[in-house]
Amino acid sequence: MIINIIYNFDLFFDVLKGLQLLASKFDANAGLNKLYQEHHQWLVRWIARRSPNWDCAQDLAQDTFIRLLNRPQVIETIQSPRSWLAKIANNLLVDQARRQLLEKNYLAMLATLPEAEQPSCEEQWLVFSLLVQIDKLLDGLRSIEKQAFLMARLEGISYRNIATELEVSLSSVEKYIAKAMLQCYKASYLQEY
Amino acid sequence: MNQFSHSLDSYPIEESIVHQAINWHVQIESSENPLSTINACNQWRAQDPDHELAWQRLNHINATFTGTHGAINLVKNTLLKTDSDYQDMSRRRAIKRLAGSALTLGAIGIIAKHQGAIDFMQADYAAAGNAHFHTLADNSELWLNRDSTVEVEFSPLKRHISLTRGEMALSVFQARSPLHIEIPFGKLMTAKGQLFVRHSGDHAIVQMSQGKASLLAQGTNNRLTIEAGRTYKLDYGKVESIDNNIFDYTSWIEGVFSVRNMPLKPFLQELSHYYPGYLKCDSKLDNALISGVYQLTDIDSILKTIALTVGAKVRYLTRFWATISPN
Repeated sequence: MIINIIYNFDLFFDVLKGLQLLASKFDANAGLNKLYQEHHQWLVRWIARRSPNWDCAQDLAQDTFIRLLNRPQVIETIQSPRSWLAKIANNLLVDQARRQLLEKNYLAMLATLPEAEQPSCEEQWLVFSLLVQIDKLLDGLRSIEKQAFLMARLEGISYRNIATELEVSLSSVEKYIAKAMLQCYKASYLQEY
Repeated sequence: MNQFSHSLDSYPIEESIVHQAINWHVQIESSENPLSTINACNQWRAQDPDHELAWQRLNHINATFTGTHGAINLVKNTLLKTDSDYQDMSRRRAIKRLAGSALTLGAIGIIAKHQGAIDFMQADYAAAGNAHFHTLADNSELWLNRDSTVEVEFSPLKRHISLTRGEMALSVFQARSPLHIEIPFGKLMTAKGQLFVRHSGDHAIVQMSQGKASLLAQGTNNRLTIEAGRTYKLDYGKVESIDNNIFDYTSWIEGVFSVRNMPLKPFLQELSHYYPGYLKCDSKLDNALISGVYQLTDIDSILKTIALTVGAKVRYLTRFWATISPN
C-alpha cells in the first residue's frame, strides 16, 4: 500500500515526458530547441552530480526544460543560459528533497494511527497530494506563521483562541495569517522563473 | 497555478489590491461580529473587477485546505514535523561545516603560523565534493565515495544493494523487509542501522556504527552478528576484527581525512585514493606516526603539512608523482 504511493511518482514523470514529446511536435519553440540541444547534456551531468541516480537526473533535466515550454519571450532574454538552467534545476532538486522528507514523515505518522483510523489507500494518496501542495504554498514562512495559519484553515479555530494557544497577541495572529495568505497567493499566481 | 493552467490565472493584479483583499479576509475572520465588515467588503468587491478577482483567488486558495478527508491532524502534524526536520537538517549541515574547519585548524594550527598552509584551510569545504549523498526509495541514506558504484534493487518484498566498487556508508531506514547488502567475500543483512563498507580488490572492510547486522562470509556457514562500534576485514573464508581507532574509515563523508597515530606508509596508501597519481615515502619514514584531521580539498597541502611534522620534504618527480623523503 505504502509502496504503491511511492511508485506513483514514476507516473508523474511519465506524464511530463509525454507532454514534452507533444510539445516537440509543434516547432513553435525554436529558442527552446536551441537551448535544449546546446545545454541538455550539460544539465543532465550537472544534476547527476547532485542527485541520486542517472535516471533521476534525466527526469529532472527534462522537467527543467518543460518549465520553459511556451515561454519563448523568457528564453529570448536569457543572458547566461547555464547558470539560469542550473538555478531552475536546483530549485527542483530542493523541492524533491523536501518532498522526500514530507513523504517519510507522512508514512511514519500513518504508521502510528490505530487501524480503525487508517485512511483508505486512495485517501492516503489524496491526502499526500494535498500535503505536497500545502507544503509548497507555505514554503518560506516561519514555523509560528504556519502553525497559526493551519490552525485557522484546517481546524477552523478562531483567531482569539489561536492567540491564546500560541501565547501571542490577537494582532500577531492577524499578521501571521495575512502573511501566510500573501505567501499562498504568490506561490499560486506569480511565476518565479 | 502552473504553466498549463487557464490564462486567467496569470492575469496580473496590482499588489496593493491583493493586500486589500487579504486585509478584508483577515478582518472578517478576526471579528466576532463581522456583519458590518462583510457589507463594507462587498462594496469594495463591487468597485472593480480586479477587486473581485483578487477576492476569488483567495477563496480558491482557502478551498485547498478543506480537502483533508478528515485527516486534519495527520496533515497538520506531518507539515509541522517536516518543517522542523528541515530546519534541523539545514542547521546540522551548517554545524558540520563549521566542525570540519575547526578540526583542521586544531590539527595544523601550529604549522600554519610558519607556512603558507593557511591557504588551504580557507579552501571551500564543499568543494571537497568527494562524497555523494543520496536518499534511496526506502528513505535509507547512502553516501558514496569517489570512484565508487553500487547497484540498487528495491521491490515491495526485497531491498538489495550491491557494492560493486569503492566505498559506501549507509544509514538504513527500517522497513517491512531487512536490507540485504552484497559485498565482495560476503553478504550482510540489517533491519536498521548505520554501516560502512569498502571494496578493495583482495579484501573487504565492514564497520558498524549503529545498530547491528548479520554477516555471512563467503566460504563459511556461520552467520556472525556485527555489533555497533566493531570493524571487520573479510577475505575468502576469513573474518578478522580490526582496530578502528587508527583510521576513521568514514571521515570522507565530512570531506576530511582523520587519523590517529597511523604509520606514514598506510597513511599514504589511504590518501592515494584521493590523489590522481602516485604517493610514496622513503622507507626510513614508513613507520613515522601521523595524527590529525585533514581537509580532502587539497592533497598537496596535506603532503606538505605531514612532511613538516615528520621533518621531511615533498619532492615531485612529475606533477602526479610525489615522494616524501628526509631533509
